[in-house]
Amino acid sequence: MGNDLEARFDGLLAEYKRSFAEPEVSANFSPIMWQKIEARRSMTFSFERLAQKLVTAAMALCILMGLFLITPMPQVSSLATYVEVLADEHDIMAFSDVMPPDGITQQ
Amino acid sequence: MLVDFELIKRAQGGDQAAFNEVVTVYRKRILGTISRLIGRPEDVEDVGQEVFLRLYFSLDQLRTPEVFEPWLYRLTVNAAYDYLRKQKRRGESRMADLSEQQVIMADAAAGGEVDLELRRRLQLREEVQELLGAVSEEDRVLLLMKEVEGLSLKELEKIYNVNENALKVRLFRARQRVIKAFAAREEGNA
Repeated sequence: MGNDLEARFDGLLAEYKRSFAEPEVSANFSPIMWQKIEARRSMTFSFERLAQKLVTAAMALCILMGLFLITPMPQVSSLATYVEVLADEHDIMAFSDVMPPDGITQQ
Repeated sequence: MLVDFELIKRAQGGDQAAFNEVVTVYRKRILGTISRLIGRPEDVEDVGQEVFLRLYFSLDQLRTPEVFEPWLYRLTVNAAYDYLRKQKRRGESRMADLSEQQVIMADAAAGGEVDLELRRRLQLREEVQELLGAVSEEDRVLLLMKEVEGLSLKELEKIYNVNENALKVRLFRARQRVIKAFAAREEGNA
């Protein structure tokens, strides 16, 4: 029964194959194919150009960001008081030369 | 191989006449395969053009002549599979239904009787397409390549790039499912 069924199924597939006539190729087959190739090529070309522009823009942005990060920034600690910042900026000895502390005379 | 590798090399170099010659030599064979795979004659040329378009854009990757035909078949299988998947998504009615309607309309317009042989062939295609609905589009194409196109397991191995044992298992399962649907149909008809 099983083999008989398989044989009938094989017969059906063979008939299926025979039911298709030899395909007729229309005269427009190649011209339409070339139109599609050209359309795909121009689409690919536009996409490549767009991709190139995007890559260039991304590289320029990277360089700008790199330069921005490399440039040294003035180091001001947010925790330092105003007086501490002043003391950092001026040499303590130079400061004492200008303004000697009370009770100490210059020799 | 139906063409000389030199011709393919010329086509690879951008020679459009050489590519046209390759297309002319293979198009009938490829269109025949596509018609049996998709079962929809009105879309055969469209899918065939897609196959040759894919060939055109991938031709520069071809290095040896012996892989050309399996490769062309792989492109055919993929294009047919993509087509069937799109059709399924669109939920369109199948070829046999449309073609039969067209035949009946043409017949009515001509005022004659529908050619019995043509009607029988259309019913047969419809029946096989329905049975093949028991498996996925991928397995349907694989099964038809083996059972209808008559490709050997070695040839299918090259086309699918899968080892023979895996193909055997897939083919066996797909065939069993379709035969089961065939048996159920026969029981229903009895």
